Amino acid sequence: MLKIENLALLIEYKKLFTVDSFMLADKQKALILGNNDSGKSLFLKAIHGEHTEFEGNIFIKEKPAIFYKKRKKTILIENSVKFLPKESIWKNIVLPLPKEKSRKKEKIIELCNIAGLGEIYNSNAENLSYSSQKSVELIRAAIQQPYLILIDDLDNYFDDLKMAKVNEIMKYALDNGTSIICTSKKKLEDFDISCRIQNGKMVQL
Amino acid sequence: MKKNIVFQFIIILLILIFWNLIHLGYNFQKQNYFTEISEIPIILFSEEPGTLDSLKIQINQLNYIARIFIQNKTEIMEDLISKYDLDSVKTVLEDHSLPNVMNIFPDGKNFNRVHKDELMNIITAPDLSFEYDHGLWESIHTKIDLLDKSYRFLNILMIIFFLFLTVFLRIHFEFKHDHFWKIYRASGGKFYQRRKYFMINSLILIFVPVLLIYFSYLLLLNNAVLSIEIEPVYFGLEIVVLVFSSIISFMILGKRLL
Repeated sequence: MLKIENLALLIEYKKLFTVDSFMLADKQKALILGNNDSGKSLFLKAIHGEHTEFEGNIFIKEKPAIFYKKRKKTILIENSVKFLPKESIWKNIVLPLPKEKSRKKEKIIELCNIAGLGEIYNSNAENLSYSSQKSVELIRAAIQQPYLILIDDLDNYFDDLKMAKVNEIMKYALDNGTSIICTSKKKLEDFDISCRIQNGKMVQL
Repeated sequence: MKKNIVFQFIIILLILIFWNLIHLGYNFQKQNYFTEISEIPIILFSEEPGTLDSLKIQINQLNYIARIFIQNKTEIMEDLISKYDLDSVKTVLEDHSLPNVMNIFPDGKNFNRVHKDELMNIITAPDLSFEYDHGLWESIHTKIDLLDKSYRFLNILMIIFFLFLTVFLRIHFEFKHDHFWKIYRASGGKFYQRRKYFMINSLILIFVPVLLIYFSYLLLLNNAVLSIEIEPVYFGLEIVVLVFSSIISFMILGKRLL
């Protein structure tokens, strides 16, 4: 699904780190570990097509990242919340969906229940906690069944209890053919592939 | 977002109603002036009835003449007697030699300076005399010229105002929705969706208010509520201004609409 070859991630012409080879199959979940300023977020942005300053190749379903510039098949969940606080939780989830099909509606309700939002999905999103807002973002991404969901700094948002719920939502996405890449500063469980960025190189653990 | 489109729709509708009232007012006033011109007769006098008859045939062919009628001596005398109750002096009147009279009523809409000069040339002959209130004709045409100039000026003013307002409203509301579309795009929404919405909204704002007013106008016209007509080209002009406004807004918004 995702194939990265001889990648050198640059920022203002300066090499940040290199990736010799990175492969991610359908329905796989990868974790990228790294300290602050190691370039984890930029790596996700490069896959997402937002950061184009790099050498080497990034292929998604055998097509270069530039191919997806105007037909996004990846969803990036960044640190900053992408949310409409004045709208309901439901509206925030269905925002990018072209049509609300009844099967999808049922699935959204199910995922909201998993995330602990089942009782309040029709209420205003303004008062939601940061972690709940991130859960909403994840449900919104999962329900769209993209090729790839990219989650930046996963360890920032959720405690262990909430992480179990998030894993369930991620499982739904994986079961539907989506692959997931998360970045984190600390090691997390249940990932098919784990890599670390260290000494200017990304290595598989 | 729907509220904003409804708001813009109402504003456009109100301006278009006002603009079309200007068209109606102009046509109404112009029609009044034309009627005034039509009511000023050109009166020809001749001793020979045959001269007036042959002239009538010639003048009847002119497309700027509404109606002509000839009165002979006897008719004029009877007319005078009945009008002023002159039965007692009937014999006196019979002793006087009255001329034959031809009344020409022009079609006010087409009776311009060229046509007036043409008609005057036709009726200027040694055996004919005529009377026409040139001063009144001049004064009405001066008013028509002033009305035309004011109408042109008002139309230009309306176009500028309408363009400015519609572009301003469009851009204002698009800017207001920047955050929504940013979230929409970041959450995985389609790339050209904002542009698509802009196009759909443009089509609604261009055609619906103009067509609504046009069909209301036709309805009023057919039910004889309105007697004054507006040339369809003005509805076309309103559509052109709205299309132009959308194009300007589109160009100003540029990459925001991706």
